[in-house]
Amino acid sequence: MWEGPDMKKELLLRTEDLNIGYKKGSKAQMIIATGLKLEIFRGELVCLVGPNGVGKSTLLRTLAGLHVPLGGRVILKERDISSISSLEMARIQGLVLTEKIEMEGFNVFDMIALGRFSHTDWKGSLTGKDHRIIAESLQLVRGEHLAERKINELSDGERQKVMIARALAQEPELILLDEPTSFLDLLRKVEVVRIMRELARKQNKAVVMALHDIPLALQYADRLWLFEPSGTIRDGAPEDLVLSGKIVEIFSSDPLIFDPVTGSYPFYGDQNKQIVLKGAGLTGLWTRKALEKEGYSVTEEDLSGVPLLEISNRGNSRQWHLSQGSRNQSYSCIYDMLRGLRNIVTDLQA
Amino acid sequence: MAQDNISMSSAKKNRRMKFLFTGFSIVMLFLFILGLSHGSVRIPSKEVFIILTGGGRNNPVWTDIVLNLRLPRILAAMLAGSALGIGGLLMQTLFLNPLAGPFVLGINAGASLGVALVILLSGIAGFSSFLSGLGLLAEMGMVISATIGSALVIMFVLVLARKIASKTVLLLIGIMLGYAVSALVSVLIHFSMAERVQSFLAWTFGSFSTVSWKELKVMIPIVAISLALTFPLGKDLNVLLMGETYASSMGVAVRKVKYSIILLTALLAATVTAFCGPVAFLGIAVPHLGRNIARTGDHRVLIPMCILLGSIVALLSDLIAHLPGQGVVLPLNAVTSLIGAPVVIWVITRYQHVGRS
Repeated sequence: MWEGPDMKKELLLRTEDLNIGYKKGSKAQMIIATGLKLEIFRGELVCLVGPNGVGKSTLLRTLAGLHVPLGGRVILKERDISSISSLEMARIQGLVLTEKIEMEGFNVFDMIALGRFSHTDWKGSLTGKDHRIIAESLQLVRGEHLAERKINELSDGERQKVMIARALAQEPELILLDEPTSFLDLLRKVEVVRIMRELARKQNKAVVMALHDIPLALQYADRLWLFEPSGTIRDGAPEDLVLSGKIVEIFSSDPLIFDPVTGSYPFYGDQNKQIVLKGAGLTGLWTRKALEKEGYSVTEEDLSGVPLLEISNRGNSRQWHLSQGSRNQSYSCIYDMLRGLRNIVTDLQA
Repeated sequence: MAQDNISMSSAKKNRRMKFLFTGFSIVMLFLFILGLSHGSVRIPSKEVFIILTGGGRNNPVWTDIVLNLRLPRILAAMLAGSALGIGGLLMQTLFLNPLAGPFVLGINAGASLGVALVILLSGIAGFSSFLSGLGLLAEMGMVISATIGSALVIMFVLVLARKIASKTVLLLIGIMLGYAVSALVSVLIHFSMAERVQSFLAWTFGSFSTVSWKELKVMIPIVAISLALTFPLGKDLNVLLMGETYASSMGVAVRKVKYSIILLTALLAATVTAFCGPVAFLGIAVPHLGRNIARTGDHRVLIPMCILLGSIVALLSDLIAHLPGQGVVLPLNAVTSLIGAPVVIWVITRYQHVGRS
């Protein structure tokens, strides 16, 4: 093991037997999770995953010091966070939430400048250093071109980048993000996750991000916190958790089975029909996917009395040749081929 | 390069702000002089200027009119306009609601209950003739009872604000409180004598004319100190626009700031209501005018802007109310509402447009 003084230095936050949840009324408590022992290291991207409503937001808020733990302690830089003032906290931690913020009369620069709140004087006047940090923060999220744009005119993706830049302007050592990609399309989602990964690696920030996109979390996280409905958190490299079978267990629910190989939920039709497929490469792979979706069990060995599909690749043009008994037909795309296949089957049944 | 562009455009913004503030200061000064010279007796503005600078001993009647009749009214208008403008700005930011005003916490309702109580008491106990005989004391009675009424509501809201974390709940309680108190007022009115109801009604119309130097001795320090205390809040108010979770994560002491906002608004709104009656609409309309004229949401600009615009709109309203001349004065609230309502309608339609897009 290499766990020497280095590991200790990199440890930024840890929890001691942390219990999280809500106070209901004066005495009753709603406990979400108990006995949590979590660690956050500098330079790592931690993804917090788990079914909706399991308590990911409560955990993040508790780590951010915005929510009082029901038991145990959160230790940030060797200090109990309950002893850290909100002003000091703002210089150590930054927070990004899902919600869309309306800021009438603010442009991107003004908004990021708000992130300097805990560093500026009572008037909030910006020094040269503040200007430099604001510009750098915007650069880190690749949003230099946005500086003069109005907040209310930004797209959802741009807005979330600005929210991240604003958190960066606090010069935090730890950034907590609660589902920052929820309203974004796939491309922007990947972009945001990549930016966070880069910040962890290149700026040596610690990043904890609640994410409900499991494939993305598996792909980019250094460490996964898998929040189970039972109120425990499994912790480890995403790959460890996949191998332990935990991921499949948590994210599968009959009839949807999580496929750890593709990181998604594959859909196979009824699988009650058979077809022989001759064809390799990418074309072969996607043709097979299409056939499976259509409910075919696909084999490569010759079988009699079963439709045969052959793919010919000539340069850029592909052809699908379908034969069933004496019938023969060629198609130039998968869509037409599937329609042809359906006709043949109905004809045979008739 | 990017940094240069930013600082260049911010220099341009600063120039624009300086221009706006100078321009509106001149407008305010102009309206100030106009208000002093206009009225049942027309006094040339040059004479007004001489009287203000300590001269004008040769016309004691004019001096008396300007210094003892009109100046207190004009100063009261400026104080009330600034106070309500700032109160509205604070409430709109606290509740993140464009239609909030200084009276959402039920302060004017409390004041009107106090005033209505005085009317009923003087009605039933046969005090009517006694009080009207005292004249001035009855008038001060209204101020005192309005102050007590608002103070009770303020204390109630402040205790609630300590206990209730949700702003929406606080807002709803404030509004419900207003309804409940108004219901009591209407019961009181129902059992009051017609002439007393008339004087209560006159109070609800709002007026700057009821303020003399004696009242200003109380009004000026409270409003001036409260306004001065809002300036250091500008930085916090900006971050509060992002919502309380973000604000506290960015270092704002949310509870303390919220409490200060409520306390300052209560002081400003209660003082104005006690001396000038429940002046309508100014508090909602002025912050919107400020945001649109300054083209910013930055409270460090909006606070001085709302003080300036609040004064201007109040002076203008007072001037319009005195327009008929010959001692005829329109109800102040009729004028402020006629100015305020179009602004509020414009705000509503604009926000709807934003919501749709």
